[in-house]
Amino acid sequence: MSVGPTSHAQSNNAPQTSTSSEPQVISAGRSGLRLGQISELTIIAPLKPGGADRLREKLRQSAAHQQERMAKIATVHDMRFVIFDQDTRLLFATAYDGDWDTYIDDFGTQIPDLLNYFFEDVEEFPGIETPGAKDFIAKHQVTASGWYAAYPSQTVRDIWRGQRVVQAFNELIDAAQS
Amino acid sequence: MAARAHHLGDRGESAAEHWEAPFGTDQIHVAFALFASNEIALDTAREAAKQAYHEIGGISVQYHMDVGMMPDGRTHLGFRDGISNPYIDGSPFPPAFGHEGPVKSGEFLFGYPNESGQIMEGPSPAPLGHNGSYLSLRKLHICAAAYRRYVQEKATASLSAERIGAKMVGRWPSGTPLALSPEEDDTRLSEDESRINVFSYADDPKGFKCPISAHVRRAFPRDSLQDQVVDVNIHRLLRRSTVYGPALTKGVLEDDGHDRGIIFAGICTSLIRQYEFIKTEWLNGGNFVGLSTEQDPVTGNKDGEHTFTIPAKPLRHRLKEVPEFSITRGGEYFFIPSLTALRWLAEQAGQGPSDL
Repeated sequence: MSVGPTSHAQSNNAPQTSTSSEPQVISAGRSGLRLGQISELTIIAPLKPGGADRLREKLRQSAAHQQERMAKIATVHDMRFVIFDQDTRLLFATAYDGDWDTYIDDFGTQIPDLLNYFFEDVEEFPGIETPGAKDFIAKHQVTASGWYAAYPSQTVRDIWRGQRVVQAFNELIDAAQS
Repeated sequence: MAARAHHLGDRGESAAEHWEAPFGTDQIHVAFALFASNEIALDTAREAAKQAYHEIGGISVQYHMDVGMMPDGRTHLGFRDGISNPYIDGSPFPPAFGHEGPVKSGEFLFGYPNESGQIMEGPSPAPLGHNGSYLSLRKLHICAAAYRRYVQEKATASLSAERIGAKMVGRWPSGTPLALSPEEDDTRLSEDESRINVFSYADDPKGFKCPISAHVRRAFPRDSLQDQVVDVNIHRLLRRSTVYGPALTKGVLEDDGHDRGIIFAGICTSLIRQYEFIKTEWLNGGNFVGLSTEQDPVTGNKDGEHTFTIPAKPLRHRLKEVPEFSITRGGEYFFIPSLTALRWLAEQAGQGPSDL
């Protein structure tokens, strides 16, 4: 299914699309939905006893350097850790580029400590580098019933490059007018 | 492979519904390849194979191809191919000269640890899978005339046709890598096996020497992806590709109607993580290097932008409307059993191993 705007008004600077060129919501692979370049992943999993407090503290301490840490992954549009149900469960939700499992093996060999640090407080989390990692994710993932993204054809790298281009363009025009 | 064709980017003329029979059907059960270093040896082997074939019932040849390197050792685009291959950890052969370290044997052989430390298992039971591999085989028609026309049409005073081709491939036709000799070909390099494949991209992050979008840089990024979380060693492929069809006469710019191209053969233990990853992540798009939907100039299809970016100072060149130079005529995934697996199979049938 696809949930999206039904009018074609351009007053909000949205790019022009016709119905025939609008991307369709498809599967992101093993689980999850994908629209254009952007997929959603929603995981709900039980936390270990005391895990909620530990995870909250880890997230608080790491907030300051999150941009720098995530810059190297460069495919995550956003992610949230939501602790709920009286500290017994975690909802982890992210919008990311591409298909479900393309880079999980790379995460496993390149940044296992980083990912395990944030997920080891989840019950029975096997470790991102283990053979059971993908099955564990799929077991706790709930595919969304509706998925919308404002710029479905734009990946994280496209957006970052676009930001640099707009800035450079403005500087160029400013310099030409000064 | 037909079931994966759309995912692999085989669209339009390359779509599975257009594949040459029996590719894309369920009529391919076994493939048999004979390689020899000269015609006489090949004929001898071919005769032995024919003899055995006539003694076996219940099997019929569906498809036959004569393949082989052309006399000048080049492909139909005029480039030397197959220079770079992974060096397999534990190989009894000395390493070919290259910049990178050995890759775990489990990336290419079942029954051994791979780069993730896991033992890859092929088909079961173990005697069948052990020491075997998977093979991605693809028959790719190469549009030699279209390539020649395109590089000539796009040539300018500062960017010759030969240079455009080299920028698209990442090597000069002789095999000299742009990373070592960006301005012109250098036979001192191409004729020296100890130098032709020893290079890094670390001093060329923006691709001024070898474009980021060039074919060899995409297919094997070496050390050029340091700014992202990716392990190049888990995405390697052992290639045993070859060439088919008559050469297009030198200088001819119109297609002569002959089928010619590459038989691509890539060996690995995880088709998804190795062959398919390279094809879908590194060849069929450009997002991994911030180039959005730009495709590999040699293998790309008509999806996406079909532009090719040549980084340059002060301004990059963007070649537009790059045609398809490669049309997929068919492909299939195979399991390659080891010699011991072949003997085991023969024993299962109650026939002795004969003269394997």
